[in-house]
Amino acid sequence: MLSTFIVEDDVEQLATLKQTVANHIMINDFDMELTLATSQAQELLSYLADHADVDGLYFLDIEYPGQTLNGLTLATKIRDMDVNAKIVFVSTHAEMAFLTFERRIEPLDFIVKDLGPAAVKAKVETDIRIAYDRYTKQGAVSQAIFSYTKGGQLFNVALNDVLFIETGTSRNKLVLHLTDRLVQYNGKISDEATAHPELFRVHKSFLVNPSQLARIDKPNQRGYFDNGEAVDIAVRKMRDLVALIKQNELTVTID
Amino acid sequence: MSHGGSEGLIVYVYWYIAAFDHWYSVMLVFMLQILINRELRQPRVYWTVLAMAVGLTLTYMLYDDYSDIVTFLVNLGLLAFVRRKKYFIVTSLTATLAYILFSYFGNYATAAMFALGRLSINAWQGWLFEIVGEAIVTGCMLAVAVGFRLLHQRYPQPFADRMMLNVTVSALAVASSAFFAITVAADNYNIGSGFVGILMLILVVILLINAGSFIYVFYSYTIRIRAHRQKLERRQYDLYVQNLESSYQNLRKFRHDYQNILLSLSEYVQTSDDPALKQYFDAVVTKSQQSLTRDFGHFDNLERIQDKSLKAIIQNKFSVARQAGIQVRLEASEPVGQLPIDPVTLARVSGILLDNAIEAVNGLANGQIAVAVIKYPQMVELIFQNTLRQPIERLDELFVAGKSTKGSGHGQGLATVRELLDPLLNVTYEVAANHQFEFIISIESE
Repeated sequence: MLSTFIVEDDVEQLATLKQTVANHIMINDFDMELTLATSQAQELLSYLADHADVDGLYFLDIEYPGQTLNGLTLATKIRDMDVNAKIVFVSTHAEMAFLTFERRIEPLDFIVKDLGPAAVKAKVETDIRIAYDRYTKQGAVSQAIFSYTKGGQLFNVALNDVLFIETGTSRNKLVLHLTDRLVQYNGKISDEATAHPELFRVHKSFLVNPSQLARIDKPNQRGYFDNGEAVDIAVRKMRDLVALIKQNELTVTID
Repeated sequence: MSHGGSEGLIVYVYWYIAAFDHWYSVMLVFMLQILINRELRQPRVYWTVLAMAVGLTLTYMLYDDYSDIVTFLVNLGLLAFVRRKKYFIVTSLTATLAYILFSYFGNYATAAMFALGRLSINAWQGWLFEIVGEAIVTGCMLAVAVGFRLLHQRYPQPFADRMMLNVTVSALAVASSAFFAITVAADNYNIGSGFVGILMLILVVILLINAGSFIYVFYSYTIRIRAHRQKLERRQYDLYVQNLESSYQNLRKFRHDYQNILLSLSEYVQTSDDPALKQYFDAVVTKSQQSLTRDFGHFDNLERIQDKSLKAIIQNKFSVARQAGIQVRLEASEPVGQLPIDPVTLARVSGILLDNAIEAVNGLANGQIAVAVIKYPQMVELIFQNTLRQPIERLDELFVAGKSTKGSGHGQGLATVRELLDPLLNVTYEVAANHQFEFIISIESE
């Protein structure tokens, strides 16, 4: 069951949110419940501390005047206890720190109160449906994850987004090429090759995700990706790579 | 010129040696001036100098007294050719004084060498004496020229400063008057040249001490005054910013409270059965909403950034962006102190990224630039984000110098950013450009 939590310090808004959530769950007959609606952030944390294995959808305000916690610290703590937490921030535009929350919390959504009660209600309902949809699919296909660390902080990306890893221009730095992002991080390519058996070392400087390869140019020993990026392939690795592609029936053009 | 050698050594046995000696001495003074004063390097000066040297030599052959003073006075004629008069007087006095000083010691040294070698004076040895003596003096003069040039290069300020030039001119004038007085006295009252030499040495030492202490006092005083003034200005500025920030905080708090009151009020209004009230309320709320989101000419959260370098560059570039009609936003959820990165590098990198962002967004309807400073337990991340005209396909090409993706405005400078950040062990970066252009710099604590 998906539990829903609301933390909102304004009593009136809390009541409205509560009503919207409860109604929407009831109308759609989702396997969900409104577990806790409170104005005290600490109360939510206590609940989570007492109950293990909670799958939750959380509607959080960002500033709670007079309380030690704020939206960001609260959400960080929720993430620690509920890895799959679906977090929605409900606040005024001025309080939103979109970039910060996106980077640290990866929230499901931001709902800007300034848009008015009708818009807020519509967005809350959409988010309930999205969260429920994700919750039901969660067990079926567990998505493979690639993670990297920076400053003791773990960052996750979908393995399907990984194109390849390249040794950087400076020592001990690697460059992770994702479909829509370049990430430089500290590491050694040999360590990454051992840690991620699903990636294939095609060259001393390149560790490739074979399922993302689009084309292999055998005579020139190059591998290409959909976005045009390319890697070198060592002669003695070419045969193994081709064998791997055939074995896994990957759709890679081989010239 | 009046060589002080009268102690058993009579150099000027032959008139042509004496003539050469006079001419060479005068030429040395001119040479030193030309070496240290760039303005004198022009053909008409060279011709004038030649004429002056011949004239002076002829005069000295007939009448040798006061020759140093005469040389100096004639030399002043060159003032006609220069624009920086005071600087010319400094170089001219330096040359004359250096010559007088070193001709004495050159003469002494040569005389001592000859005395040790027990050489008598005849035609040949007269020339030898002359050549050795002048070689020593020339060497000393060249050393003075080099020293003067070095001083000029190392400390160009005093040479350009009017106040300092005045001081130098007057100090040199005092020194030269004293020198001339002493030499004239020595010539006319038969004072031994050894005594004159010692007098000169004492004078030089006193002058050097005086000039040194004066320059020291003068400079330390001006520097202290300047530092004090800067500190005062800095403090006033800080105080001003602090006041501004706190009053802005109050405004923000009020805005927040007011907005929340309006929101809860709207809950009541929506549930009431009065359509006129609803209509009126909606009209009021929309209007006040507009004025609440208006720009107050301040950047939210800037007070949380305590790294001076970062704060300054954000303030500066955000002002530029805002003037260009671009919406800017700064996120800093927690106070962030001094970052473990060289401030100049940080300023350069942030400057490039923000300039690129402004360029990319400029002219775009609803263009926005956002900066976030995110604090982790062992790291601080800076995110620079801006609206993008169209997605950039090849992120890896962004970093290649000269390969700018047209219109995006992010090609320039990213090669420099990479060059600056790559060598830093505790710094890594990320870049993304699908809906928004995003550059993240992760600075780990050392």
